[in-house]
Amino acid sequence: MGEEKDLLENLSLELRRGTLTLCVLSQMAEKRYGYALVQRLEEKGVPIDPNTLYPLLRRLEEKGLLSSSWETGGSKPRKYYLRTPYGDTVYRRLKELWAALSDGIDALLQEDEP
Amino acid sequence: MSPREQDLMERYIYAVVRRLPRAMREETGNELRELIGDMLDADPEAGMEGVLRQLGDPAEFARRYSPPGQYLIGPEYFENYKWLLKIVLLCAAVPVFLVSAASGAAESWPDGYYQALARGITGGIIDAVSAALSGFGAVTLLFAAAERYERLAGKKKSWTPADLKEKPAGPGKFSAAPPSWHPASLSPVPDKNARISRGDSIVSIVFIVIFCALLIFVPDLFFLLVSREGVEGNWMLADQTARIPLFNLAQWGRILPVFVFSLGIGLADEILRLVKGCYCRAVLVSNILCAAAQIALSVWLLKFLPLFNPDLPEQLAEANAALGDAAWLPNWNTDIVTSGLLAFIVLLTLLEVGTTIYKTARYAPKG
Repeated sequence: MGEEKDLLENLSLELRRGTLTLCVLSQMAEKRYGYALVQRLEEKGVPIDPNTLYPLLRRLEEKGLLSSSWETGGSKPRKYYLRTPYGDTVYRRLKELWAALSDGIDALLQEDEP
Repeated sequence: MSPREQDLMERYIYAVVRRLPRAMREETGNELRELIGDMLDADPEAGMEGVLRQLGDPAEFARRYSPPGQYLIGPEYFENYKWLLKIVLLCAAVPVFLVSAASGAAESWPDGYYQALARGITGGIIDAVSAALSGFGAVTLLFAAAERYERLAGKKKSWTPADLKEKPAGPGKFSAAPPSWHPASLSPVPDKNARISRGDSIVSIVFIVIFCALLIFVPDLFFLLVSREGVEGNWMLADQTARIPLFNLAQWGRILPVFVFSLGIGLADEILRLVKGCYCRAVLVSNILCAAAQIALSVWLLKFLPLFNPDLPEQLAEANAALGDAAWLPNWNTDIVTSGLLAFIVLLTLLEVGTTIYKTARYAPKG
């Protein structure tokens, strides 16, 4: 039983991994800080561990899809991320790809239903 | 946040950032401080320990930050590297151990059998370990350089399918799926005649490594043995034979680096052949460059450095006088020997380059 649980966990992790970039990009039209994003994604039913999200944000910034700025006005310094124009373009393309892929997968899975 | 919680948080942050590249540390530390503070505010019940447990193993957290390609020798070369390392370690350590042990034992022979054996084996082990470490270092350095070069080259130029034609057997250089790849651009499987025999390369590599290891660790192994005619029994007895060193061991510190460097160039060339596995432009260019460098170094070694024992003719004459009628007395003339050797090396090198040019032109996949 334990093995099956591990396997399922691994597979679902792999399944989600590729889609997280899309989920994160979708939320970055306005600037947000890391933990707010964690909470928001969780509310929407796409929970993501901080130890996955933070490195992901950093990578997206390195690739030029997000930009970041530190704001020191509040109770503590916060790093805010925002989608760049390049990030907008990439996000739109990814969204189209996702729509096509999810339609295709839905069709496949429905075929399988009795 | 209590001082204890503060301390715990800083420990966690340190455990993450110390595993990251230096340039990322400060900013990541600040981000984590912000994150942990937020998580604690959102769930004060959990306490600092609960929050940190939720974040998970700091090593795993750091691993997710690391950019890809954090390795000295990547998967593309690893199999070749591992395999070659075995060969090099074996042929550096074993011959050095045997020769060093034998010569150590021979030296302390007069002190008694057990003492000679003990000294020989101890010296042999020490030399063999040093030889193995040097071999390990040399192979690792070569492969790490190749890995780094490939990565830099890969970054600079964008991939086109035409690259395939030029380097047919390049091991996995283009692992990422190219955006516009077409099967028509695949180069043909190299002609049988274009393949470089793995056996030949290995023999060369083994020879170079053994020779190098002996030159470094037991240079006094290379000597001329002059013996009295009809000597029976123990030829190691000093009064029956004379051992005259062939090389100029007094100047060895100057000579050895050039010698080893020249052999190292040959080794790099052979390794490239082995990795590429067939005649192609990279092999050709490397062969020509290495040949030129080796000829230049040979000229330097033989004509400008005092490679050979300068007292050799006198020592031969002495040995002749001491031993009476020596059975075999080589007629030594340093000029003739160096010129002959140089001519031989140049001829051999040119022959190899010629073969490479011919085979590349004739059989290498056109591209």
